[in-house]
This record gives sequence, C-alpha cells and structure tokens, in this order.
Amino acid sequence: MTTARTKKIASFLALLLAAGGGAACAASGKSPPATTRGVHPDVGASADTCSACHADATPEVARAWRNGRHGLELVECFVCHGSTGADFRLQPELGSCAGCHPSEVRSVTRAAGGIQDCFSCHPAHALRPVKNSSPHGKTEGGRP
Amino acid sequence: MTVSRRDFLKTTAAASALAALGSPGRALASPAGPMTWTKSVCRYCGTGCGLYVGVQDGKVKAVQGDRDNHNAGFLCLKGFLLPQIMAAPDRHLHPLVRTNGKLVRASWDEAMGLVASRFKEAIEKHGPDAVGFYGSGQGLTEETYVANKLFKAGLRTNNVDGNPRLCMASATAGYVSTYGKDEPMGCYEDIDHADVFLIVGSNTAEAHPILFRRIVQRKEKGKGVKVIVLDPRRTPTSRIADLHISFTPGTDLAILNAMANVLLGDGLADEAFVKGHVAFGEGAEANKAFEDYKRFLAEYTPAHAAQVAGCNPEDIVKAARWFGEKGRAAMSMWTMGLNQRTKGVWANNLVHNLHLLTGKIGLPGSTPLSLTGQPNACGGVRDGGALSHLLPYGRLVANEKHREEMEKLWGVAKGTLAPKPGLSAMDLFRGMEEGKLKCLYVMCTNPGQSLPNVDRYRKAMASESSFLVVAEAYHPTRTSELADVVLPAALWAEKEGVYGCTERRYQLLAKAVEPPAEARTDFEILCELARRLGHEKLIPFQKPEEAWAEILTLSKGTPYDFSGMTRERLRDSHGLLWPLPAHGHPGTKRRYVRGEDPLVPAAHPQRVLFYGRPDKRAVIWLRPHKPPEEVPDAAYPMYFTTGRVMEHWHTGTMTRNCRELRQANSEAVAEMHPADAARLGVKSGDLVRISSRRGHEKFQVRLAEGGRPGLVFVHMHDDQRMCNRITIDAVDPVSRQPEFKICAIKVEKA
Repeated sequence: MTTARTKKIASFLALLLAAGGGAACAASGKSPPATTRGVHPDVGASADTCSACHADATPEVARAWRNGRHGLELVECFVCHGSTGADFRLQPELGSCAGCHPSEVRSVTRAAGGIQDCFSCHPAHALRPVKNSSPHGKTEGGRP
Repeated sequence: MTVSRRDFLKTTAAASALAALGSPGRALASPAGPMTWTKSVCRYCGTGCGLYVGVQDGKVKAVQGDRDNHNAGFLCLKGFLLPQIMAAPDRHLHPLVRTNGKLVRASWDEAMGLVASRFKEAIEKHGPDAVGFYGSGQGLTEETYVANKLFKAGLRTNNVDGNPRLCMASATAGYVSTYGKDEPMGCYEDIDHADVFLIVGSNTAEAHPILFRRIVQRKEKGKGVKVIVLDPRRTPTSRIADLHISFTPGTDLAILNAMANVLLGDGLADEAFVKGHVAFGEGAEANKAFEDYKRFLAEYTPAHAAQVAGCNPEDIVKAARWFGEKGRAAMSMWTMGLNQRTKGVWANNLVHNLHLLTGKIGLPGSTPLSLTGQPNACGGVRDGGALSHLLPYGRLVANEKHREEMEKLWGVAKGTLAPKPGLSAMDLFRGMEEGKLKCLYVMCTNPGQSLPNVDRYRKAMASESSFLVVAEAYHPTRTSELADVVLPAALWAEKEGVYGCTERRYQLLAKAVEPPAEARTDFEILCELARRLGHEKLIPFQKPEEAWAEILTLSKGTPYDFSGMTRERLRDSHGLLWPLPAHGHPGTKRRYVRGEDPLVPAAHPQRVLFYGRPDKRAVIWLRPHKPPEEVPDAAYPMYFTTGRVMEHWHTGTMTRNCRELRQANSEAVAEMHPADAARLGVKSGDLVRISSRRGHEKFQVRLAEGGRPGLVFVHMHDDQRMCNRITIDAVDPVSRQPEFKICAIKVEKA
C-alpha cells in the first residue's frame, strides 16, 4: 500500500471516529456539531449501488432490506438515509418517510404524545407492515 | 473526502460499529417556514405519477406524491429526488451561438435572429424539406403542438419526428395494425384485477417501479396470481416471477407463436369471441381465415420454439396454460424489449394475438398494456401526431381526407399540407449526413447520445454543412456540444402544460417557479420562432392554455375525443382518461367496451366493438419468427443489449445532477454471466473493450448471475461510456424504430 493511500485511509478513519463521537453526543441529547453529521464516507460517482457494497460490509442490513418491501420495490438506501458524506443521515428523518407516506407520518406526529419514529413499529430495513395495530387511521388525500 | 469502493469496504466495519453506539435521533429535515404546494406530474417515465411540488423562497425544495392520483402517493427514488434537477450547476442559462468554432454567449435577439435567417435561407434555396424538427416525449403537449403546426402547416414540411420513434413506434404500429387505432384499450386499474401477468421485454421493476409496486400488491392480495416474465436476463422484475423464461435474444416471436399453438391445442381458445370479433391476416392484408392461422401455428410446437429460443418447452406450455386458463384474467405488459427491434411490430402483434385468441381483452384485468418510456410520448407526440407520417389525433399525412380536415381546422389553404410523409428519426439524421437536411431544430432530447450507431450521426450533427439548433435545460449535453445555437429552455416545474401517460391519462402540470436567468419555455421560444418566420397568424398563442383550447377542437369527433377536458377540469382533477367527449363525462377506463367507451353504442349487442377497423374486427396476424438484423458469428460472437437501470433515466442529464443517483450506477458497466467472464479471463472490475461492426467502447466488468451466457448488457445512461457507439441502426420496416436491443459484439480484455 502506498504512503498516500495509507494517509487517505487513516484520515478517513479519523473522520469516522469524529462522526461517531457526534452520534454518541446526539444520542445523549446534545446537538452534534455541524461538521460531524456524516458517518458514511463520500463514495463519489460510482458504478455500484449501495446494496452492492453493503452486501459485503453490512450483510445483515442488506439482507433485511433486500427481503423487505423496500428492497423488492428498489427503494434504495439513499431515499431514507440521504447521500453519503456530509448529507448522510444515520437515522432517517420523518421528512424522508413523508415523501411517500405523508398521511401515515402526519397521523402519528399529530397524535397526542405522538410517535416520533416510524421504526419503533416497523423494523428498520425490513420495514414490514404491522398487522392489527395501525395508528394511522384512514388514508388522507388532498394537498399537502 | 472521496474514497474508492475498496477503501469503503475496508473501513465500513468501523463505521458500522460506531453507528451501533446509538441513534442520533435528529430533528425533521423539513425547511423552516411555509411551503407552497403546486400539483404536478413526475418528469421521468411514462407512468405519469402525480405529485405536489413544494416551493419555498421561489425554489423547488420538495416533492410529495399525490395520494389522489393513480400512484396513491408513491414515487420512485428518481421522482423523490426531483428537486435536485432544478438548480443543477449545468443548467443552461443564456443563449449560445457558435462563433469561430466555439459556443459563445449571445442575446436572445441575436440567437433567434440567426435561427430564423438560417431556416428561411434553407427553405428559399432548397425547399421546405431542407429543414426539420426533432422533438421529444418529454415536451409538453402544447409545446409539441406548436412545433408540429408550425413545421407542417407553416413551413410546409412533414419533417417532424421525435425520440418516441426510438421508444414506442413499434407499439403504435402494433396497436394500429391489430385494432385500427393507436393506444392501449386498458388502464392501470386492470392490474388490480389481473390473475396472470405476462411481462415480456420489460424490466418493470426498474423502468416502471410504481407500476411494479402495484403488481406486487396485486400478487399479495389476489388468489393464486401468477407472474410470467419473458426476458433473456433475470432482472429484479423476476423476483416476483412464478416463471421466468430466459431465451436467446430475438427469438421471442417463436415463443409467442408456440404459446398460441398450446392455447389452440389445449382448447383454451375462445372460439365464440374469435368468430364474433377477429379477422386474420398476413403481410398487410386481413385476408386469411382461422384455419390458415391453425396451419401456420402447427410449425410452432413448444419443442420447436424451445429449440429456436434456447429455453425449456415445458416452460412455454406452462406459460400458455396459465395465460389461457378459463375464467382467469390475463394482462400483458411490454416495453422496449419488444419495441426496439427490427421485428418490433410483429412482436407486438403476437402479444395481441394471445388476447384475441382467448378473448381475454376488454374485461377488468384482461388487456394488452404497452408501457411507455417517457412522460408525454403518448399525449404529446403519438396522440398529437408529431411524427413524420401523422397529423393530430389519428389522422395520416398520406390520407387526403385527413389533410383536408386539418387544413380546415388550422385555417390554411387546401393543399398546404404536403401529401408525402416526412423523414422519421433515423432518416432525419441520415438526411443531415447526406447534406439534404440543412437545418434541424432539436427540442428537449439528446440524440448525440441516444441514437444507435451514434458516432455516425454525431459527425453529421457536427458538420459545418448542417445547422443544428438545440433547445435544452442543460449544457453541455452530448448534443448541445455539437450545436450551432443552444437555447436555454425552462424545465418541468418552471412551466405549465399537459402530459399524457401510458393509460391515456392526461394531466396538467402547473407552473410552480420562474425559470432561471434567461431561460424561456419551449412554448415561448417556438411562438417567437413562428413570428420571426412570418407565421404569427398560424401561431397566435400568448399562453399554453390558448393552444390547449385549439387542441380540444382537433380531438372532437375523433376516437381520441377529449373535448370535454377543459383546462379547468384538468386543474381540478388528478388525471383524466380519454375518450372524454363532454364536459360532464367521467373519462374512459376501457376502450371498445360497451358501457364504458362512449364510442360504443349502448345498445351494441356484444360486450366489445373494435370500431377502429372498417370490418369492426381486430386482426390476428400470422407473423413468423425471423431473426434480428445481426446475430453473433465467428468475428462478433456475443449478443449485446442495452436498457435502463433504476437510478438513472435516458441520457442522464437530469439524474446525474442528483447527488444520490450519481453515486449509484452512474457509470455504465458491462454486465456479463460469470461463465463468459471466466472464458474471457476477466473478473469484476476489469476493463473490457466491446466492439461491434460500428464502433467500440470500454467498460468495467460486472458479473451478473442473472445474465444469460453469451449476452452482455450495458445501460444507456452514461454520457462518457456510450453504449450507442456499439448498437445497430437497423430499423423495423414498418415502425422505423431501431434495434437497440440486439446486435453482435466481441469482448476483449482492455
């Protein structure tokens, strides 16, 4: 491995550690600094897809996604997680879910003591529907 | 910092471990402050998904699916990321004119003055057929209408064509030859009633993901729903297949005939339906009988077809029996796998044959539905008659009565419209090559990347002997880089107009934001060109809705009749399906069906009436299997095919501007079966040189377990590694659509 390549990976790992610190900080209730939003390296233009790398890197996650509804219908990782690098969101925001599921998101965020996280009911990546316990009520149409 | 895939894999384990420490649980990403929402339609494929455009501070910031439209609020990942296409760094903002070999900034007056003078000069010196227009299934209906009217009735040339010729011309010719009229008779709602899906030559999961979603839902909810996929490659669509038949490219005609053979042999034909509604034909004449068809099919035993196609005969039998089972609704869907072929019209006919033979047509869930690739190929170009052989709403250039009708409607003198069809897509560019076509106006499309055998036609476009005008939202593209004038065009939410999608659904896209800098709508640009060319009386429009009012009058009394589809109704609705001949009419889900189609008399004694042909019958055509134009040989021993992937669209000018999409599948790679890679001594990531008799390109290898041995697939979206350097420019003799899907290649380690 060349020296330059070693330096590149070393600096990348340093970024990951900083990002991880940010994540831990956010989990403890403090706002992460803006520079530590990303915990995913910027992969640039690519001939691959997210799932091609993650089949090796995070096989359980990739398998859960692939076998779930989002995987079957090719709703790929970035729809929920955003882009890589600084735009990456480790925890998908409800705004992402609302792009396709606005009524469901509204129904849970408007409710008293509303659920703030879709994934407390729908397991992350597999995102299976939950039977007989929907808080969403009747689907709403109309202008956002 | 950017890292390679290898670096990524080495370090992701660390990232994952850190991620497991806890979830940040950040706040919603919604921009602060109020957002205004404007009803619109997705800019990409022909599914026509309804959505709302979210605007804040005069910029498009978000989109949200329209729950009240057919897509039930769902968008695919490309639609979801549409806001990013608007403020892209390569948005074209100012007119450019080529001066001393370079494109330099000019005023609108200078640019339009040059365009008008060059078109006038060419017409004066060489006649009206020295100029042409090459449009797009992505232009708005009103834009395409202005161009079609200006060129055909104003400049008096039928050299008006567009990229739908590359996309769906064979589907059009298939419907017209079988039923006498273009466009599908069924609708998306049929998906919810189908018991059997025959998906042939379509990677629906990637090319039409929201329709694929609806098929998935039907398969989950319906009882014993079967999905049959005919495709040489095993694509993501096959994940829901109960039966996937892989076959040698170009041999599906034999398979489809063999399915008909089984339907007859197993007593699954609906003899009463055939007797009441079907004629038989060969060549161009409906001059055969049922007995002739039976004799014709005798050759196509499952065993024979399987031998031709390189598949299992049992699978053909199974597919036919599933399709033909009595009492079960059968729906077929297809797209470029059938259309982009030199036998494309015949392949379309053979799918229709299966429906007509079994009577599985015009019933909920039983219909042949051609899927469309672009958002307004149907509404704007195909229905609007903006192809070189057509006039609006089913009228033909070569038909004197139709020309007279249009001359009257357009208020021009009898004899104004030229009787000879103009140059179709490939012939326009061959005309440039030959020096016969002096000036070409290209709107909203990218032939410098999308034509087959593209280098041949890039030379013609770049030639100093031709004058190329490109109206585009982005620059440079692989076409605008060759142009003499590049006009900055407004994009999608920056303008208002109508789109018409696969299922005859017309929808209004409202304007949500202003165009950037000096960009103008194509409608404004074309109206300005008309004025400069002295045709302001023919093209008097100030606003698109004025053109729409005129368009409604042209549809009246035709099989398309949507004269009740006023602007107000379109604004209030979430899509309307024609025919819709009166203001209060709800629209038509299923054509040719009594009780649904207003053109079928309520008292008609039978459930369907194929009114498109003089004998009121649809035609089962006797179409033999014929090989593609080019098959592998000793010099070029493998098959080459091209198509779409999920993350990108057409030539990538929009999708490459979305950060997430640029990171996924943006580089075209050569997907091949592992056995081929082993034989060639290459592995995933190696560079190979792919050559055909026309050209060559280098690609990285990707091993595809679902590939077919002997076949290489490359996607069409990469502007740097262009698959069309390799593809063949042979066309179907009827539809004039090129055979993008099949040619012969050799592959060498680079």
